[in-house]
Amino acid sequence: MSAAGSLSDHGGGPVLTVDGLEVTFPTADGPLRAVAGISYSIAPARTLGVVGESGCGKSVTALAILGLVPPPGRIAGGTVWLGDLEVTAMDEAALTAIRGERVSMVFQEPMTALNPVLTVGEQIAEAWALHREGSPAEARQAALEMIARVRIPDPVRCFDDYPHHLSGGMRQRAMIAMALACGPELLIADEPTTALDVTIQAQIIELMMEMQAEFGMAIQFISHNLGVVSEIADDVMVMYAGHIVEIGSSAQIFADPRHPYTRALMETLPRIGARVHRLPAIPGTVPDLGALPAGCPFSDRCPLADATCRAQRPALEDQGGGHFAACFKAGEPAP
Amino acid sequence: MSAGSHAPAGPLLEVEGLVKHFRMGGGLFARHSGRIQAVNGVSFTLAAGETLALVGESGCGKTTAARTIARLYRPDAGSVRFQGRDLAGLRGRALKSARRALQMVFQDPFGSLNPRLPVGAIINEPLKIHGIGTRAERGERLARVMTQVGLNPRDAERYPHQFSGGQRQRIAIARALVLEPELIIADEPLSALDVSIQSQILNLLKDIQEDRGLAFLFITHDLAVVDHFADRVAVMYLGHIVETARREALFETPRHPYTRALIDAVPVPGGGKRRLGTATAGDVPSPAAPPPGCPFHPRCPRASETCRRTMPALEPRAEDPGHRVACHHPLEAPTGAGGAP
Repeated sequence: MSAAGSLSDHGGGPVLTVDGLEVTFPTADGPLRAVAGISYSIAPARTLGVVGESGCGKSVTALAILGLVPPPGRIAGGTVWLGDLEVTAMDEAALTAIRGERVSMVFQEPMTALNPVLTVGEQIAEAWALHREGSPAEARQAALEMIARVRIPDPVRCFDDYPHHLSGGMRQRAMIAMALACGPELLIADEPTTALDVTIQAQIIELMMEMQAEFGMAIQFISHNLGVVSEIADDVMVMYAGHIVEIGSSAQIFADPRHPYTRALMETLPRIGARVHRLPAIPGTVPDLGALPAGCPFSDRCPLADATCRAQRPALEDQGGGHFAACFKAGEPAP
Repeated sequence: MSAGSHAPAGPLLEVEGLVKHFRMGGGLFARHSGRIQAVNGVSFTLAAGETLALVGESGCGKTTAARTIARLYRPDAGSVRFQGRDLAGLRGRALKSARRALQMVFQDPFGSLNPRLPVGAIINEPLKIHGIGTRAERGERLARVMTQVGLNPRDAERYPHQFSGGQRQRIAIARALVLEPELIIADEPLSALDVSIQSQILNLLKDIQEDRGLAFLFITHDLAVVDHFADRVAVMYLGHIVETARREALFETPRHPYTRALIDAVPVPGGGKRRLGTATAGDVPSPAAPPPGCPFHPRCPRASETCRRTMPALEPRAEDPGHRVACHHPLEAPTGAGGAP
């Protein structure tokens, strides 16, 4: 939830606090702001869905949390906290110590994240042994247990399989086993079901929900797919051109979207049973970060935009009940 | 409608018993060797001006079927009658001319456009290949088709990398339209695009179809797009069509348990959190080692001994002959008396 929003009743502070995070990439025309000073937090055992189109900053935000912004990109401002540890103040050694231990990540394509020349079991055992004291036999046992916990049939056989032997769904299960091997308090999942078929996607969503119930980790779930986010998230954050344009509980965002971009995203989706003749399309193209409008980043595509929107950048304003939208016209009906 | 000078008596496209297998290299590290049975006896027809969606998950054979119909692959068996002529047996010049009214649009608008040619030359290349029109006439056609797909004809001298993904897909569509085809085979044309751009392209395809009375064979994994765009739907699983029907019938009264599973797996925005235990179990089997009997039986909650042994035929439903299903234990209509074993 947003920095100003409520924490869960699990006690303690949020698992993740992002405060004024700004990530820039240098270009010939000056620095591009991929993430333009965003703030939010996630409470223990909650799932925050992060939604947006390409270039909105959702993946760069995730990399910044892990201290993995690819150079020459850099964190130009703001702080990231895991509990009371400031990630943005850590050196590489400290970052290595927390990756996998306190925060893990799963990616869209497990093939690029898994090592093709090590068996699945060896990689999970290695992830465990990095942060745990134990003999190789104990590491193997821990890996076998994790493989079983992510419901891969025949864990012993899977332990000795190489990643390319597994189907896409099984690879993603193995990825999740590796990410959860040390029981991190935060799991970042970047489009983890996008490369999967719909029936397999449903299995992986269920698996992540079950794993959250077992392990109690918070999840930051990044997706371009509003339907998938709706199935898994407690809270939803909508990003556009490096900005948070709307954030609130899943119920608030889906039942009462306040930002014209959130509304347009929902209306433009074809839906089973909707039977509309034409889809309400969002005009224009996804934003070019090097050529954003001066005011609201969505103003050049927004049906409600007026002179104020084109001149000033709106801040996130409380819409009630921990629901925030960055729009001068929040909640106004489209013309 | 656009039956054109060919005036075919039958359907525009008639695919019968189409089979395409690929030989798999049995290399040193290969677990499987043998044949990938990508398309295993697929039959359907498509009328002029109609949209048929071929839908299914990866490995179901929908893309191979599309490419074999377009004769990018040679079929191993079966026929593909387009405008009354069987493309399966044609080669060389005869194939080129028979295929003129059949164009393809691919998923990846980055890989399918030559980066070294300006977009005007890319769009007009099919005209040159088929030797159509004078230079001036080709210029006129280019401007017309660019305008129709929402591109500015003044951009004809720019190169593909100067366009966004959505604009590149418009370029690919313009190239498909320039020969004034009767049929466009579109293979996942929206998958590489952002959500807000997908609806623009979907609206464009609908406009084109209404303007020109084109037929579409639309290959997709996205059931919501199918329900929005298709007149009829064929659901594929492991190389077979398991169910085909008019769009409304398929979505409102699916008869095949796999179709039901596919529809139920589509996440609905605002539909609330997923209910645990509702996902269909199991993986899609490899088309190199399909299970015996019905290809869906290892994942099917209704599977019986018969399903494990015998492949069900694609049979018409008595109450709706256009609705055909290949299942020993098809789902009944909600009001009907259940047909489960």
